Amino acid sequence: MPARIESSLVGLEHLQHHMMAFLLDTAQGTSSSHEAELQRLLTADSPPEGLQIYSHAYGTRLVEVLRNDHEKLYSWLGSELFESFARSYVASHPSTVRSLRHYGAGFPSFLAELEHPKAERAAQLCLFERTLMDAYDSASAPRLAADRLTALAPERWPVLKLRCHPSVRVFTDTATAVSLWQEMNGAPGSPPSSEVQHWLLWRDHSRVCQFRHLQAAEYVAFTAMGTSHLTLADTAERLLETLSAEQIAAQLQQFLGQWFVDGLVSDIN
Amino acid sequence: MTQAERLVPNPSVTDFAGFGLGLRPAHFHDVLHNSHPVDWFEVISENFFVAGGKPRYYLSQIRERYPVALHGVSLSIGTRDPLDLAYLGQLKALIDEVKPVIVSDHMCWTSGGGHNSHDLLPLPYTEEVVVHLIERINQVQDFLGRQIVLENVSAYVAFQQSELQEWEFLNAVANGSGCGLLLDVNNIYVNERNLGINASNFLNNIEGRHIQQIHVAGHSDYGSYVIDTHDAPIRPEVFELFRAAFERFGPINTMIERDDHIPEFAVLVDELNQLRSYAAPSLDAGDAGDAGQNREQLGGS
Ligand SMILES: [Fe+2]
Repeated sequence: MPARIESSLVGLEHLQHHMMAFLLDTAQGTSSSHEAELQRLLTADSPPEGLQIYSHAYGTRLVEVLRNDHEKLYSWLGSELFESFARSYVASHPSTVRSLRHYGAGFPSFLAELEHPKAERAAQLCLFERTLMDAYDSASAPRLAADRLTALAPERWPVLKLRCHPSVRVFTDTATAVSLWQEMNGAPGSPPSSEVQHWLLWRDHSRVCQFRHLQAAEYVAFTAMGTSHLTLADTAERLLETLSAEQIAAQLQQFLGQWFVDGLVSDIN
Repeated sequence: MTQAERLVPNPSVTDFAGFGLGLRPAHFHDVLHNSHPVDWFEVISENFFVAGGKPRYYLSQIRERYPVALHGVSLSIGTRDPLDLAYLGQLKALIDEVKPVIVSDHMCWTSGGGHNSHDLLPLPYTEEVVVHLIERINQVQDFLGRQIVLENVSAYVAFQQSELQEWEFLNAVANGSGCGLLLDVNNIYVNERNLGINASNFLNNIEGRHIQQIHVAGHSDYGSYVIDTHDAPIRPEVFELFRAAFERFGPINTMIERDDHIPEFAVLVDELNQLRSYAAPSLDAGDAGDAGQNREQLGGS
């Protein structure tokens, strides 16, 4: 390449192209064909370790982000297995995010596709930890006190709709990952179950993340009102599949009361 | 009127706010509930690109009591990729909310071809790159409606293309764009050790009028090279370099960066007091007033 072009912005582009390609290659644990070209661009007195310092930092930093964001997954897999999964994720997922907070967004689905006996549970545990992260730093919003419900005029009850606090999430667990999380957190996990379990997650008044198990009827009621924004009347109709007609009114009232107490409701209309 | 003349300087930074620390989540509680002599805090902007919850809550609480500087790590001012307007939009929203005394990032590139290195990669020091940076800084400052401050980075490689000294390069960019400079004395030391630059020559030639903030930090020494790890106490050589910089450039907002192996808050407060002692002779000799006494004035939005 002529010297003139090298010192122009074409040179900058050339350098940046090779440097980024070098970092991404070495994250895959292979040597990079870009290294020789980069070396040619460096001054003779650059430290011989220079390029390796950058390539080592790239992979290490991203693995560390995954480890910090997934403490429970890390302890369950153990450092060796975690590291190997994380390294493969970093190798196949060049970062396209500016904020490292989001780098691991694809980690759960990556784990789910691994051929490993622990893959499914690891993926669920990972997704649960990310769902907690999402609840932790989601938007702030007001929470309605329960007296807003008691003050509601009778004719408004059937058309009542909820808007949930932005932190609220429903997590569906197919691999008893949540009980694993609880055990590792020092609390007795829920009894092992082969059934799919649904969990309600939210950030409470004191900005701490909470979660609790949803029984079948409450899951139906919450997905209807909280997730799909159905009216109370339509929600009652959906519950006919799970509860007897006589039970519905009392159950719904109890669920609603609890949702208000938990601080899940930001608005009603 | 040139771009540089149109820019409003960062509000109040010309006043000396004193000695600060990088705000880390582990210290949120200590910062708010214990009495301490920390005058101001710097936060990593990208860590607060979240909608709400504890991080944003604590930031707003801390901002009510202390001046806050926003320090970014992924502006990538030197890349050949187009400016990331979504990123700038997030930064602007955070600026509007926090009303920081300083908005800073690094004189480097971090992304290319749509990928992010999450590292502060050095640029070749050429006239063309200076022009490229000035153009981009102008766009960023126009977009944000305020001056930005850019930091000299540590480097582990140097480029044959470079035709300017690092300080010449920094001066040229600041003069052409009106951006401020954040002087990281640990990075100067790291570059002296790794690349053989002359630290005192750097300090003698960098134009003091651009310097709006000083960083001091610890590094890891591997003998033939050092890495800017921010995970250890400040080394004596770096304290000495800070003394020389503070003596030369006068009272400038100074803070300690600690990003890893983060100790108890009290340990950092002790280190900050040590830093003050290196600055004390210059403060006593000058007319700077009492560091920290400007808090009220600076803390108001
Ligand atoms: Fe720095």
